[in-house]
Amino acid sequence: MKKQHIILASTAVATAIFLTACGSGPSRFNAQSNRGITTTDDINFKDWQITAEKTVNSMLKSGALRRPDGRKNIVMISTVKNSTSQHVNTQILTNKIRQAILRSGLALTTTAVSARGAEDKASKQVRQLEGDEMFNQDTVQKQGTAIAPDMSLAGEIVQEKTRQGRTKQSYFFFHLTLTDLKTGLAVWEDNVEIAKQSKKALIGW
Amino acid sequence: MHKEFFKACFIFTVLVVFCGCTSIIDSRKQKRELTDAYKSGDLQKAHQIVSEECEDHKNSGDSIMWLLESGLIKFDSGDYENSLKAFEHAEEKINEHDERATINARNSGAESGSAMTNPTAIPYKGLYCDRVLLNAYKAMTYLALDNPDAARVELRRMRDIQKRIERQFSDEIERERKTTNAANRKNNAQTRKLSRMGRRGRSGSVNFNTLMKNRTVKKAYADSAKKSEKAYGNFMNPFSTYMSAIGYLVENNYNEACVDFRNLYRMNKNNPLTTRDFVTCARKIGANVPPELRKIPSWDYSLNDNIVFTIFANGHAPALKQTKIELVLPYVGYTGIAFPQYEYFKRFFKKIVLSADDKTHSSIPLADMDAIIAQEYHKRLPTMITRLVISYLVKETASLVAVQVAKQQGGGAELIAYGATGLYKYLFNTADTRCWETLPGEYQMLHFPIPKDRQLKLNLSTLVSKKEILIDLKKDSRFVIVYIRGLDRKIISVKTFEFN
Repeated sequence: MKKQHIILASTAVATAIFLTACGSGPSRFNAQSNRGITTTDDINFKDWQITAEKTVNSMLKSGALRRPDGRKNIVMISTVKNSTSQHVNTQILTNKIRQAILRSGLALTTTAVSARGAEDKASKQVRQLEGDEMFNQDTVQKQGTAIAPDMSLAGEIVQEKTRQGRTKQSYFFFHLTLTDLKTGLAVWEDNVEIAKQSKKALIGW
Repeated sequence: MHKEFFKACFIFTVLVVFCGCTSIIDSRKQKRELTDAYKSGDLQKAHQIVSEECEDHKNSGDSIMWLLESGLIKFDSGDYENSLKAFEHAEEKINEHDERATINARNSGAESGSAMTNPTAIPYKGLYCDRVLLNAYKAMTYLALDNPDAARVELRRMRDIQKRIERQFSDEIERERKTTNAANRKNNAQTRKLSRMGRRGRSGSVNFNTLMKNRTVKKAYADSAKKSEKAYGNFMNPFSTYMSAIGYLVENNYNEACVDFRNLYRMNKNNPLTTRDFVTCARKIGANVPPELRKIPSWDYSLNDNIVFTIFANGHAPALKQTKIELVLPYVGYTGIAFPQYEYFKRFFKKIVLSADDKTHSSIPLADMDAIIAQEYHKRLPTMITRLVISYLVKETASLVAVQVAKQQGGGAELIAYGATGLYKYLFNTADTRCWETLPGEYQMLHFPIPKDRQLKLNLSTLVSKKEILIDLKKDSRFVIVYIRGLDRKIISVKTFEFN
């Protein structure tokens, strides 16, 4: 009887130690590494990285950003429509692309106009200083000096969800287009597909 | 003897502490103060009560129920931020239940607790229709917070859930069937044990066909069948389908909106509003209009521009109440088992009338929540009631075994065992009446073009003290959703969600 009690108590203590030892405190890791949490239903940071990298490479290689007259195209970031069943911030993608375009030196991006109004409202606000006695009018930005965009970058993210038994699957389709605003023609288009699958545990807590 | 007695007392105390008050006091009674405040239109009081209850129950098995009530009461009160928080939290908890391993310790523990007490020991996960409406309300809350993109996400989630409900339900019924069979086996083992102790042996198996011979069970089944006659197909809710169609119309996607309107037409071929919506959409995209609808004219205005959609959430959804089935069970004899049955509420408003540009527009019934909820209850009833009776029988036979053991020990142990088992059975003979009580009993719908003066007049009947409510629309909105909540003799809120 006593032996049984000792075994029972030891098992309980061992389990408690095991369970408390399972957790870990917060830590930093390299965002470019393959670490990080992957979930089936959501777009994780790695998915954004993969998509941005593939689309930027494709866009830059296509030559669609180059102009024959040597001037740099001005690209506005339009809307990346979220057609998934997750609340996502599509700016993670558009900001990455915007930075890559600027870094490439092939084109410039504008913050004065976007599908949802100006990304940086300052361009408009400073022009409202015209006639304001407080400011030296020679230094106030004049109307008619801002440069309108030549191209627009837009896209859509679509998600298809499927379940069968304990397995669930999400298929994300990222589609991006670059439109020549003069002609309305798409000068570049590409997509990235990401498929994820997970299986619910049969036995667990 | 003393050791056994203290052990039994300890188990009893643990059960009472861990099963929570819903296991002893049914949820309908627990929510009475809240629902009285809500139904009388005292939203401030209801808001306060539900916030406290959510805090008190945040770690209990009833938390989802309280969060759903909280989300809707806060939505009706106009406290959208907190409404969204409550709905988000409820959704997270529901998803967490869905993601658990197929065989998991927590569910097994709850099942065991339920076998020893009653079904309220199992966490409330919401009816399937609750899950669909949760996302529909989240979508409206996002609209109220001026975030139509997030609202569209919620509408997509709502469609996803609607798609997988039927499959999930059949899986759930299969699981229930297995649990029932296991409980029946356990019961038979107990009855064999009793036979060995000298009591006359009888089979402890229970099935629904046998239970249907009981008048109360038969009536409950027939009543829910009658109520669900008006239902619209397997777990379909025309309100959520209509919300989905509105979502597509906002996106200028007539193709998908037409699919929703076609489904609405299939659900109810006599609804003049949805039939005409279907015809309008089908003609717009050049799809086939069924021959029987060819004479129906299209709406003479656009369905996705310069339009007001009005949702009238009328009355109260049915609420579960505790009743007793009187049965004669093997070994036990005559007994009363508490079980939940829906109570349906009268609606005081037949329709609402809105005036715009000197024209009047009346709402048309779209989704009868009585029928939708009754349909789900009706489908669940056979397994639910069989399980309840089996669980009761398990407890009874276990009590009999305990009494028999005590009898053999002598020294008054039998009397103590009788008292203890009697008290235990009395306390835990509670029905699982958990449900989302603040939902409306019916959704009605109407639409018309935005009036030139951008003002709507809600004409109220003599039932209401105010005779009319004026609704002013913004100057530049192209798409307006008006949500009107009507309770007994009261319009408690009118909300407008406007966007371009």
